[in-house]
Amino acid sequence: MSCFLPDVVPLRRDPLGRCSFVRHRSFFAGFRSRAADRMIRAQWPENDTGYDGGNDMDKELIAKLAHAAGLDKALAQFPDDVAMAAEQALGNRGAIDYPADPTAEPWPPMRAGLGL
Amino acid sequence: MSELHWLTAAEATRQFAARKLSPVELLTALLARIERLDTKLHAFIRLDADAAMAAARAAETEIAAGRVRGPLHGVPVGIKDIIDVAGLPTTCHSKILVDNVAKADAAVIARLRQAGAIILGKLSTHEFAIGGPSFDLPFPPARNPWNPEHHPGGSSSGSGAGVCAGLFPIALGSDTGGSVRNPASACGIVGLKPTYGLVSRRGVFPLSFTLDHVGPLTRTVADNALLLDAIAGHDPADPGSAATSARHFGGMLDRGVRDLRVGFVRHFHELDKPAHPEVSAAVEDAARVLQAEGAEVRSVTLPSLNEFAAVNRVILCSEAWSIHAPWLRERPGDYGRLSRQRLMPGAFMNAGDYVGAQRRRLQMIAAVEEAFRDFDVLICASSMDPASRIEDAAETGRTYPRQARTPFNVTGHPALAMMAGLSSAGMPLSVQFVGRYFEDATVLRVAAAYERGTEWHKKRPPIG
Repeated sequence: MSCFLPDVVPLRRDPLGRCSFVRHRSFFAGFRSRAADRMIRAQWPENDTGYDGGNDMDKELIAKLAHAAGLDKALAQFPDDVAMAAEQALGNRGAIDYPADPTAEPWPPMRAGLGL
Repeated sequence: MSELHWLTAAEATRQFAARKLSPVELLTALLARIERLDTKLHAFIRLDADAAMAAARAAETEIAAGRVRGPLHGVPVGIKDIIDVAGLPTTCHSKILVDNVAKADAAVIARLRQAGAIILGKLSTHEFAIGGPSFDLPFPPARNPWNPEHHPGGSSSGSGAGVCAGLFPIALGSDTGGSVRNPASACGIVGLKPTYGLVSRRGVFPLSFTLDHVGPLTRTVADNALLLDAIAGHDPADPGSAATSARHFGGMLDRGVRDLRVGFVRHFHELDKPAHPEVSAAVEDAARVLQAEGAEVRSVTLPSLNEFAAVNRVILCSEAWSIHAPWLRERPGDYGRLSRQRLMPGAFMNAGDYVGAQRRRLQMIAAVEEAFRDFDVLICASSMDPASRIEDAAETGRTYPRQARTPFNVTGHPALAMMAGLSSAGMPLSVQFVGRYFEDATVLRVAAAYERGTEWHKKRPPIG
């Protein structure tokens, strides 16, 4: 497991630019493996929106991912919502035909002043 | 004078100019109707009656003196509560921002004031334009004037319910995955998602930067064009704003569709998400109306709705997570349940998911642009089902995603939804028209031809 991000982020701004002290551990944020994705997807078939709680292995994996994202409070207070969010995130992957052409560019989301 | 609440903005301004009606008389009638009906409909989060009346008195004086400020002078407008109005809270229908008072007007509000419009108040939305309809928020959800037991669509739910019920003639909403066109469809009015970049988003609380649009909701196509005229235009402070000159969007409303080629995206409602039979019939009938008006209508195929929806979700969730992560980490209990479930998926996506979706997005845009080589406009379904009962969470959860609006958030093309019938249960049915980039006027032209060819815009909800 890589550890490129600091464990503690002492100061953040909220979406309105206000400062708040948000401490979270992000020991593997952004480094989730495809193997982990496959493990979760195997438990929740695509388009199956009914979350049954999963097995201990999946709960543990979700907990680690949620912890990495700083969602410890949400995981403690609303574990079903966190599980539902994880399921929804993974459910989209199989529905997208990602470009096979390595030179395919992303849509430039903002072209100031020029229009689409 | 009892029917003043059904006046369109265009009719009201004509009567103001002819001195047959004053802005104060119109506002007084609307405030009485709001007092009578909004306890059932919950369109408003914050009614700013005193400021509106002061503005109406000023407008009355100015118009009487021959000083008409603009095309909406004296017309009341409702504002979705994610759009900043200086001095009023922008709550986003959320406990998170319940005390968030806007310091300045959003760009669209400044433009509305320039046009002479009267800001009537802030309107219900799904929480942060995504979490609803919900009953665990600081304000109740808006309800559908056609039947208050049903939802009015969302997320611009108060905008749709209020325009439909005659609480105000025009309103602003926002549209990231269909949130202007959904209430327009559910409430049987006209809702336009303009071309991406045509209307500034400065001062509008973001949900997803590359998918967000601000758009007008009205009872007629002509009013929609009038409101778009007022709010469209380049804004250098919005990084997504396009350098287009403001246009007269209503300039082609009377031209009909005789010379237009219309692509009918049938697979959206026939194969991708098979529609309720009454919806299918309404959409097919709408195509026949355009054909009868002289348009050439042929079928066209686009990428599947499921893939458009998935690309929309990955982009939306990733961008929304970047906005909401601090609050979701520290204050998860201050969000409603649906918002938590819909905003947290971004925490479980990675950079590859996001960039991959943006790369596929460009291919999907190319596919739609290819269709526009052969067609001037597209016609397709909007909602695949009539609005469900608001307290039936399972049915609402089943039917909400069954829609054909997200493709045009992904691509940025202008798209308009409007009433196309009534179900056997008395709920509105809808159709959608889509145009080329910055040819919003053509979309409005087609919608106006359809409006002239039918009687649906004359129907009123049985709410009194």
